[in-house]
Amino acid sequence: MATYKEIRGVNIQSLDSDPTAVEGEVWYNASTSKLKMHVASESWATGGAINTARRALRGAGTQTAGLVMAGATVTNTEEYDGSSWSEQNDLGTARYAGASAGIQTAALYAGGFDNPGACIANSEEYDGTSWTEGNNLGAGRYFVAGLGTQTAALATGGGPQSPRNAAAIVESYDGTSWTEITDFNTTKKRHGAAGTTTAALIFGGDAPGATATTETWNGSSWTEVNDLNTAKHGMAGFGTNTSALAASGGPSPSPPFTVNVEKWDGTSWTETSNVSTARRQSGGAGTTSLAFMAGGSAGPPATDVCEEFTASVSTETVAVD
Amino acid sequence: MANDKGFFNYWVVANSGKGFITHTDSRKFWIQGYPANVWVCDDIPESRDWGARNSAATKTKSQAQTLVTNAVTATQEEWDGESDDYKAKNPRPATITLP
Repeated sequence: MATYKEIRGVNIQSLDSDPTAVEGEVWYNASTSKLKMHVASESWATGGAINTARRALRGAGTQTAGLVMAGATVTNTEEYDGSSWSEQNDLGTARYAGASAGIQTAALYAGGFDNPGACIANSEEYDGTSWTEGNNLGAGRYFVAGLGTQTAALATGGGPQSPRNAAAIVESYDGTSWTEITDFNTTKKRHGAAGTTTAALIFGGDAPGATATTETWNGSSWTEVNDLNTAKHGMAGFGTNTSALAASGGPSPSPPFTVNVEKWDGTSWTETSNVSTARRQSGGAGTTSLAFMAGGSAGPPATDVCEEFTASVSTETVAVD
Repeated sequence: MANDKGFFNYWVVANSGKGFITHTDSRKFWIQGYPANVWVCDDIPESRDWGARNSAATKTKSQAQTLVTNAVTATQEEWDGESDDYKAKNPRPATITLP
């Protein structure tokens, strides 16, 4: 059997107290006479249910200061404090599947689809209290994915009004107006997006048909990188272009959907902890350490379920037989 | 991920929100929700505690499967009544078989 030193290159240290958490680290605590290690874990837990169950809503903010907006087909806005959701002032225009960006006190929502069915280009800004109409997208589209902040955002892909397939259009928002920038390589809608206007990631989607393709943006061009392990669309996506999550969704617009979650490390996707309720078109936001996904379609019907993702490193005592 | 030994608990209970499934729960046992408020999890003491904590009704696999199948059948019948345009874009909801 290989020794610890042969594997890690160093002997196990004897320390008087537990060190700062570093995943995989092993040490002997001389004060307690215990062999200990830091164990990384990632898991989902149930959060507070949103007040209005709906699909194709969008998310912004963080796990403890979250925001969901719009959805099929409502104007509702709800804020999350990490425990419960509270209803806020409505969007000006009811729609679903637009692009969102920002945080709870400075969010952006653009584009989408209204009922009975037209792509719209409206863009609205939220200041933590109310929504104000801003300048429109250049092209109205739905199932468009947003990323960034209220003053520096991208609206990527989505489906135009006619024909209703997918686009590779990308528009950039500077806090005042939208400007079309470089298209990405594979047309898609119902995809995931994460990052900033200078370091973005888009993944999965409906091309049409479920796709696993992933592309990164460096502020000037899009580059194809490693695919998701499983092609899917309608997932919740969040994080950065070096650390992102693609949660739930499915290979088709019809159930059953998948509980699978994949994590991007800047190079490739790997499976991480599953959600407990499979669904598509939920609203999510956050990081690969702390995130939430709320609502969506679990069947039909639409669901009010919110789940919270937490990655942590805990200190465990190693049992020795 | 579900265990490969085929030992599961089948429960029916509505998701009650915060605290329904905790991080501790999901780190200790596999659990997954299905239509009709059916929940399937590894059969270990911690998952039985979860069911008791949430006042979940225990079901046999057959009973749970019937509930799920009935729920899926309802969505399939709804789909059958949709327009050809809708059907062309959205496949018929598929049958779900519980582990």
